[in-house]
Order: sequence, then structure tokens, then C-alpha cells
Amino acid sequence: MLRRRVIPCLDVSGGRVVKGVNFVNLRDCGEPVEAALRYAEQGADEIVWLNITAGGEDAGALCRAVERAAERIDIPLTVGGGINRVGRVRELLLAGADKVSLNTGALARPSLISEAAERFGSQCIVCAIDARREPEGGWRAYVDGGRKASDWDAVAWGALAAELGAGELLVTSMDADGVQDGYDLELVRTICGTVDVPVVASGGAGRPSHLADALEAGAEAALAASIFHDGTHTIEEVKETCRERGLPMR
Amino acid sequence: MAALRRGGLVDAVRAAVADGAHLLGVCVGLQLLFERSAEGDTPCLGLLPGTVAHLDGVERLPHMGWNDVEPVVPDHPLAADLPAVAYFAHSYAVRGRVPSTLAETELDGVRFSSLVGAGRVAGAQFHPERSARAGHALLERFLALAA
Repeated sequence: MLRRRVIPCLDVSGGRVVKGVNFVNLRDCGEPVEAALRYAEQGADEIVWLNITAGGEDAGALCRAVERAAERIDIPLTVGGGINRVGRVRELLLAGADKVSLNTGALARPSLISEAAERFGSQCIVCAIDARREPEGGWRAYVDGGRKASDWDAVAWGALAAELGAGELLVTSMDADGVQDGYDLELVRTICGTVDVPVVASGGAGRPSHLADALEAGAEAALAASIFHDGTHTIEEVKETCRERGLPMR
Repeated sequence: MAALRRGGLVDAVRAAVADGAHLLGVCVGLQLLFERSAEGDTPCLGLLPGTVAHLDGVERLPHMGWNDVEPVVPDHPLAADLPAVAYFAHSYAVRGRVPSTLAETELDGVRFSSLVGAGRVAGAQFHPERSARAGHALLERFLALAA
């Protein structure tokens, strides 16, 4: 039986893991390669590594850091942040990333998804969506690390991304991110009901039951950062809570 | 396959295996070992009998994540550490069993060959390099076989 996944997320800026609240007020949470190794040993099912100073950082340095992490961990590694051309996807896959996550670059030019999926396969192309609730209902997709609203409804964009060949959607609720009060479950349900690719829920985990809630809402995987970085909860604690609720875990 | 052909690697791989080399195909590498793939309707290396098909009937594709690898030939050296849970990321597979099937995996009622082996040729539909201890175990078994 296919297991549900628990994914620690490393938001990396200037070579360090950082974490903010609602995408701002970043604080330092350690060295990314060490963190990736530690989580892999603790039973994480996958690592997501997001370069959040997209474009502002030396692309070669990022590739070398990804290479060091990919060499040493023995679970899947997804890398994203600032990728706007197929050549960058290729470089990161060659550096050892198993999947590459596209966000702003794909919203600016949706054919980036189809070009990358055609060349490397849907199984390694993730579309990350930063979604914020609209006053009149629904969610809007934001770009540039949540700094700018796009023209897209987040759910409609997710459907198009999957159609273009994204093999997974990583959906972050900007409203819930860093607040640790639970995922936006309505967003998770709506996206999961719209697409037939796996969905990773992100944003809002504050305790183990929150991740179980997101998985019960239909997500294949639940991603969290603060609760693991702060040591408030371990990956095994989360998995045990999920198992108690009848979810299939590794 | 087009990339293999362009690089002259099709003949090189066949010649190496004929010469006594051991070969382990991973993920799409397993798929290339067979006669034909429905992905792009492509002829493959033809080292093992069978064909690769799309995983129609599965609810969510790609098949992405950790799933059971259940032994079909439990006394084969490559299957010695099974059952195990390993990491998959694919939408095509060798559905059902073929003569080289050593282990299989089930997803929404669809079964496919997740570990194959015949003579010096072996393949894993999952990623042993990304399957933690279960992956290490398979790679060690393969190296022991090839030694």
C-alpha cells in the first residue's frame, strides 16, 4: 500500500535554513546539509529544499550545496526556488535532485512546465503554488516568494499545471504559513478534488495532528518546517499520530 | 532510448552484457531492459522479454512515494531482504508478471513488476539509491552477485 509522506522543508537563504511567519520575519535554523541528513536519519520520507532568495544567489553555489546533500542522504530530495529555464532544471537534476519544483518561473511562462516534463518526465517536475485567500472567496496564486499577486486563481492554476505535465503540486497556504494553527484544509480538499496528481500540503503545521488532518483531507504528503526545526515535535511523533488515525505510514 | 542511440550506447550496453558485465536498471532504467515501452511507443534494449505500459487504472499518477515490494521469487538472492518498503516515482511499468519478475508492487488494485532479474541483468522500478535501508540492502545484494 502506498504510504503517506511526512516531509520536512528547508527554506534556504544565504546558505542557511531560515523560517518566517506568513513568509516574512525570517530567523536562522541551521545548516541545510546537516539538517537534511538529520531528518533523513529520523525517518523523513523526503526532503524539500527551497532556495528562498531566488535569483539573488549564486546558482553554482546552490548546485554544489544540493550536490553535497544529495550525495549523503538516501531519501528523495526535491529542490526549488528561482528556476525559470529548462537548463536550470537539468543542472539541479544532475546535481542529484530527484525532483525540481517550479513556481514563479512557471507562472510567468507556463510552457516551462511542459518543456521540463517532456524532457525529464512528469515524475521529477513539481509545481509549487503559494496560495492566499481572497476576500470574496477562493485563493489567488502569488509569485516572487509571496510578494506579488499573479493573475491566476490558485486552483485553476494547479489544474493547468497538472495538465501541462507537473507530476506533483506543492500547495502552500500563505495565510496559514508559520502560524502553526493547522493547514488550510479547505484549500487541500479543493485542490485534491480538482487534480489527479499527488498533492503535498504545506503551511500551518503546529502539532502532529495537523499533519494527520491534511493527509485525511486528501493530501499524499504533508510538509512542515517550524515544528521540526524547533524540535517541538519529531518526525516519528507525527507518524505515530498518523498511524493511530489509520493512515498508512512508512 | 533516443539519447542512448545517439550516444552509441545501445550496442555498447548489449556488448558489455554479452561480455559478462552485470547490469542494474533503475526506474526508467528497468523499463529500458524490456522489448518495448508504451511511453512514446519506443523499442527498448530487449534484454528481457516483456513490455512497459502506462499505469491506467491508478487513481493518482505519477505513482509517487513509498510502497511495498513483495517477493515473488523469495529464494532469489536479490529478493533475500524482501518484503520491504521502497521509494517510487513513475507512471509507466511492466504490468503483471513476466518471466524475470522477482517482486511485485500493488497500487489501487494494479499490480506491476517492481524488481526483475534474469542472468546478469536486473532492474528495480523503485529507487534503491533513495530507499534508505531497503535500498542499501538491494544494492549490496546486487554487488555481491556481480562480484
